[in-house]
Amino acid sequence: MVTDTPATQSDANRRPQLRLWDGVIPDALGIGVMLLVVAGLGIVALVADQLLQREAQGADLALGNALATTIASRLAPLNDESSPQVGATLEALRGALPFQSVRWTDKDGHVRYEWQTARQATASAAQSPDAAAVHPGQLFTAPVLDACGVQTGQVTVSRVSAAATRHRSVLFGLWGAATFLSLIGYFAIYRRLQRHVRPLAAIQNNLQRYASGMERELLALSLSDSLGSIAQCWNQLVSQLASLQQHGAPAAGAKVGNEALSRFENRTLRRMFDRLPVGVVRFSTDQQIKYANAAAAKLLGVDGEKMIGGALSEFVGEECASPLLGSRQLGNKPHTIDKRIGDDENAVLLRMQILPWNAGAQDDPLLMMQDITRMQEAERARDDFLYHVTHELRTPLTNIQAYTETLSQPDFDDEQTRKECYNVITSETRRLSNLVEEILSLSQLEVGSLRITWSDVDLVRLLRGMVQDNLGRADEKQIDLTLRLPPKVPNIRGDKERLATLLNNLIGNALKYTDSGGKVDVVLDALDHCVRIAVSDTGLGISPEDQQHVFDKFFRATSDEVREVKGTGLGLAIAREVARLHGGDIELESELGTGSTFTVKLPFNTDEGQ
Amino acid sequence: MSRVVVAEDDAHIRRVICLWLRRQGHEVFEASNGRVALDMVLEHEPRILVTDVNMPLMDGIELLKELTERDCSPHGIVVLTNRWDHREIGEQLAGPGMHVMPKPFSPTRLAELIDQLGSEAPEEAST
Repeated sequence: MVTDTPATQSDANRRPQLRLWDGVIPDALGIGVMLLVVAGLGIVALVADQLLQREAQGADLALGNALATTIASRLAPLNDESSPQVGATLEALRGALPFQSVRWTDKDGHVRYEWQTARQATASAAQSPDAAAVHPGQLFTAPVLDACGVQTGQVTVSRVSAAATRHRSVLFGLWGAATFLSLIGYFAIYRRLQRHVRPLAAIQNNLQRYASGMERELLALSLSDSLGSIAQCWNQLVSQLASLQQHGAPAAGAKVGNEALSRFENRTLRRMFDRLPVGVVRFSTDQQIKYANAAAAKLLGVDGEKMIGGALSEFVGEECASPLLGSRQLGNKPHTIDKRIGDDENAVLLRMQILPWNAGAQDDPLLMMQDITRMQEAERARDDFLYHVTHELRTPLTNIQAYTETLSQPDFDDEQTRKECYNVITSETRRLSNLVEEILSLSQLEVGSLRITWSDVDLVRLLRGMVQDNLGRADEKQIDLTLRLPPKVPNIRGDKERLATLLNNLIGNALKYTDSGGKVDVVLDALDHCVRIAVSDTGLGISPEDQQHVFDKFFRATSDEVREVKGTGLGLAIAREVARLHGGDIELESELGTGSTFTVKLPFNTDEGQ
Repeated sequence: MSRVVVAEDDAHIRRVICLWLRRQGHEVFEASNGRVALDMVLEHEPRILVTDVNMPLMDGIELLKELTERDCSPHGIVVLTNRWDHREIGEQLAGPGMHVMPKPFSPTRLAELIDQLGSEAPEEAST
């Protein structure tokens, strides 16, 4: 165990002390039970008193009657009540029998003789002459009989019973003692329980609050030492945790604190790590895997449980583990290795990196891994795009520079050359401008940032305009450009400007790649849920191999005839993106040397903004 | 004056090169792709070949490989390219009489280079 430093102890003392007064209800119950016990004992004492008193009264009655009969039998032979023998007899009996007074009356009720103890006489003289006062206690009577058995008078004897008062004091003495002992016992047990239960309840409360996410509370709560040894142990633990947090590195032997932290935090942290899309592997300095999250197991295609305890090289391969571990030994410099996993079709490119790690610290190294297959494909696509863009931009730039330089040379001063130069510079400048516009449009279409203005588009009107605009070019090449429209076509929802670009690209392509004397047909049909626009030409046609790539950006067919016609290879890519933006698509049917038909289908109802 | 074959698929560029070279008095043959250019070189045995890299049917690199294999490379070769990796192409094609000129290029400088290549004796060819 770690000994507390004075600093941490004082810190613990400064923290709010937990005084639990929340045991009021249990305490009240305890006191209630104790009072019930005491009352029960009291009731028992009262019942016993009643029973004993009744028994004593019975005994007193028998004793009193016997006393009166005995005195009557002694007085019967003494006919003269004035004889001193009467008093002497009574005094003699008084020594053996417990009575206070005797009254001897004749058969007419006249008092013949009356005797009472000296103490009784004094008391009655001092109080009152009342007969009841003269004869206190219970009165017992017996007849006085002569020798023939004839009643000559009556004797009334009074006596006081002491038995009742004696047993009562004993009973209530016992009851008082039992009550006192109960109180003492209750408080002894109560105090004992409180010393053990209170800290446990407080600690349980603490841990519940900690588990509910108020983790700082664990370190903030300490218990009063007066709550006993459990509270002292708890406070010691709290102090150790506080010390660990303050000093960062655990002191030697502070495993108790570390383990406590681990227990509380591991479950939450593991759940978090298992939800990460990035693979995380924690391993020891001897390459043994201590933890691998769900993503790591999935990326490596193995069971996560089997990874624990295994060697790192076993799962990532020796060729990756060695350089990664080599970089780990260098310290903070992160090292990255890409590895292809799986067969050709489902190959995944995995990027593994040892995170910056302090060799002096006690923590384990971490290996992070992620699937970069798609990222690499995106990088390749970006490179291709840049390659094509620079290639396409340089061609018109080369022409503009070369023809401008030609114009500036006095050697080329003939009118025809100068005119040719101007024409080329003008057309190449337009080409450059169109190219930049198309690249921008395509980029916006692809990333979905192109602003679309949705409205009802009259395709009949739009197509008429498009064909009208292209009639000049068709006439130049003596191409028969025709438009066939059905009687009625509903409007569609779409962006008029983008749809115009789509149709213009298709009609323009058809005219570009059709020789003089050829034919270009534009046909509009209304189907159940969509419109169909077909642009057919009798042009060069597209080979089956090229048909697969004809909608790819910057793709141009490899034939000489196509290369002779200027183009960026973006027109069809843009057309398809616009069609898809409207929830439709473009299909191609073509035969080399015969011609091509591009068919666009656009739905009437479009999910605008999707 | 030299015999020159110009292989370039862009008609405007090919036209302006030929305009300048003819003005310098060179005998110029035009080819719109590598395959035509190969036939012309084999047929006319020019002193100088000016070729683009990206061309249909046979590109400039294939054309030069083919000529090397047949041991009939012209004395001077100028490779025009609008590829952004023109430095790598230059390193790849480095050899006697070989020059790589990135697009956009100056026709004046091209004409000067061809004059220079035409006037050099075969053994003095430089890279």
